[in-house]
Amino acid sequence: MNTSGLLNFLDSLEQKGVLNAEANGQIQHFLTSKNTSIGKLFLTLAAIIGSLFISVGVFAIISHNWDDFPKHVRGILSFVPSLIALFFYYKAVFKHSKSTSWIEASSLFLMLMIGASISLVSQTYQLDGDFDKFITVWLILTLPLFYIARASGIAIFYLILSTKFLFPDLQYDWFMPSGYSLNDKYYLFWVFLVAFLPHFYLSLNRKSTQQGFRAIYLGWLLAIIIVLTMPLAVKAGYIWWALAFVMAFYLVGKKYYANNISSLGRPFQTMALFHIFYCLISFSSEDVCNEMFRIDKLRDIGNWNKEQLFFFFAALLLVGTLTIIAMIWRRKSAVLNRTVVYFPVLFGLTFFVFCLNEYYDVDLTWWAFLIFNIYAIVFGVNAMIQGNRSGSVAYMIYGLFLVCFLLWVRYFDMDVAFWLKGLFFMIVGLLFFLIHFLSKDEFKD
Amino acid sequence: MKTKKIAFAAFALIVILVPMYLIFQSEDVLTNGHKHKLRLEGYDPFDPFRGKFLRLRFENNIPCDITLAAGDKGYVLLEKDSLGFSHFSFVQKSRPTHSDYVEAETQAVYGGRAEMNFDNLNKFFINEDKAKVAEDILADYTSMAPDKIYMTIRVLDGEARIEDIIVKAKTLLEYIQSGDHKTFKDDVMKEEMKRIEEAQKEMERALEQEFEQLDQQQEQTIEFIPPVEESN
Repeated sequence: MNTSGLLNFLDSLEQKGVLNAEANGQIQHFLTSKNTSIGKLFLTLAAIIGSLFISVGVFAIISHNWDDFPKHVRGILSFVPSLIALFFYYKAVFKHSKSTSWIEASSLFLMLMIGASISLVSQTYQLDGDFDKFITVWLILTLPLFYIARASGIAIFYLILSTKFLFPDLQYDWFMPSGYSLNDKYYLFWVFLVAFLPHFYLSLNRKSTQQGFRAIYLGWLLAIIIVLTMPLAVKAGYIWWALAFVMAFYLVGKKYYANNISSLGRPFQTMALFHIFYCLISFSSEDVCNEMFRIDKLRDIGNWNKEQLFFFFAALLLVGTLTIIAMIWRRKSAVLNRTVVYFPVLFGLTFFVFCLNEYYDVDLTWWAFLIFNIYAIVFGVNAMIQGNRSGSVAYMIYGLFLVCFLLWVRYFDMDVAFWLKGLFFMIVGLLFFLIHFLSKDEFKD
Repeated sequence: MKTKKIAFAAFALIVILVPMYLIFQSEDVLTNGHKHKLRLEGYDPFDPFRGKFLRLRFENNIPCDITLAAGDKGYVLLEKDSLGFSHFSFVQKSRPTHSDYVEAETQAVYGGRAEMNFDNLNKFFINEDKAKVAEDILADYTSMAPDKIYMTIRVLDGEARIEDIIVKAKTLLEYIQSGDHKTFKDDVMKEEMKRIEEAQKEMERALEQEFEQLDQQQEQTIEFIPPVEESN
């Protein structure tokens, strides 16, 4: 039923005395305001897409290369895209400052026209140039757009362009040896990411635990970019960085997004849960666990350069700080999930076990492996219980899937007799049936 | 609002100053830089932001300082030969005192020679309608008449800019407009035929001379043959 049909239906309910006038008014206000916000989002998206297409058109016209004009004329013409975009940006900031469509579309247009102007000059003066320098200048000039009018639509282009500094240098040769090295300008990615963070913070509704579309969009963007780029952006201690981001995502999510309705509306918690799922499944395997926590690798630490040492210890410090913050917060109010808060402790414990194994020559690694598996099962069961309590079916399915996946993987890689495996799996199967029968009344099967 | 206006004005100024800086820097190099001619060859790819361009290639296997390593910044010296063409003669790590050099990044070093990555010398941006013709011209000339095509560059304090591509003493765009490229292959064939004919005539002349000399020698040899003594 569409909104107008629903409103008529509500009016008929009021006439029949099923609904009182006040409740009808409140429901109608809720429905129409939701409709208005979706309409606003549509208008903004339409303006952004329009602006994007016009900009692409400008780039295509520039690409024709108007070399019939003298060089000085083309030099002057290269200012035209930026000047036109500045005019629209001025109108947006000072005449239509309340219009999200104006702000977002003009900011995107200006960002792309700055690039167009630089491209036009480089085409006129045959500046093949350094692409890294071009991107750096472009991103520096884009940064003020986040703060002058608080435009967020350009964030996706800005962050994707900043990942340019993480692309590895590939030297491919048909005859000579081919080479591969990490991009040595990776620090610029960090600079641009950190420069963007205040904009994200300012976009949050800091007095509430429920966020609107802008904060959700920025949250997803930030979380996905961080997760995808981390393997290339950190130079040592990736495991600690991954943990630090799991904790940071969880804390930020709980502080600002806790009351958003669906998983899509809680980007940071959702990403944290995916990351935890991945970590638990990976590290609960004996081979991966042995490979990841091998302390003998640390003997080489004396040969690490300053950059690698910085990344390793910064991550340790970060994960430690975030875990302490989470523990203090949990002690004050129990809104945080215990199994997530103690997740870094599990890693610390595993690390400690491997240290003992290395320095005291005792074989305790199977303990670490066992603890990881038990933690994964506890985490999954806890997710099911929490999901049940909060009425979140998605969270319950997450927990169920985690446990099933874990058991499925163990079936193939566990080195025990098949009859024992068989018995174990049958017991687990029966346990699931038990859960089913216990929950039957609650969910009305 | 006042702060916002100041911020906007400062931002707008920077947005304008960046292309302006690029223009002034390029104009400075093109006006005051030393002129060099480089032999080249090229083909025709595409840049999504700036349109069509000719990828310019030139001799880039340069003797270098033994301490130079991949990734280092190098100063590439330019030297002119007797025909007026320049070539990159040596890569050194210290900045030269004269102005005939280009700053570049070292890509690879092997056997005392370096491969350098030159900024601003590899692409010649060109109108999309002329790109294909220009590519053909470059391909034809570099294979059949390499002495008649070259690019002129200007260098100033390590910065380099392409000035133009010269074909038969005309700029590339003038050459395309003149339409001479349409008869280029015929002209080259005619020139080649003429050269072969001249070479053939020259060869015939040389052969005739050779034969004349042989005849003369034969006559002289006959004269000096001692009479055969008849035996009993």
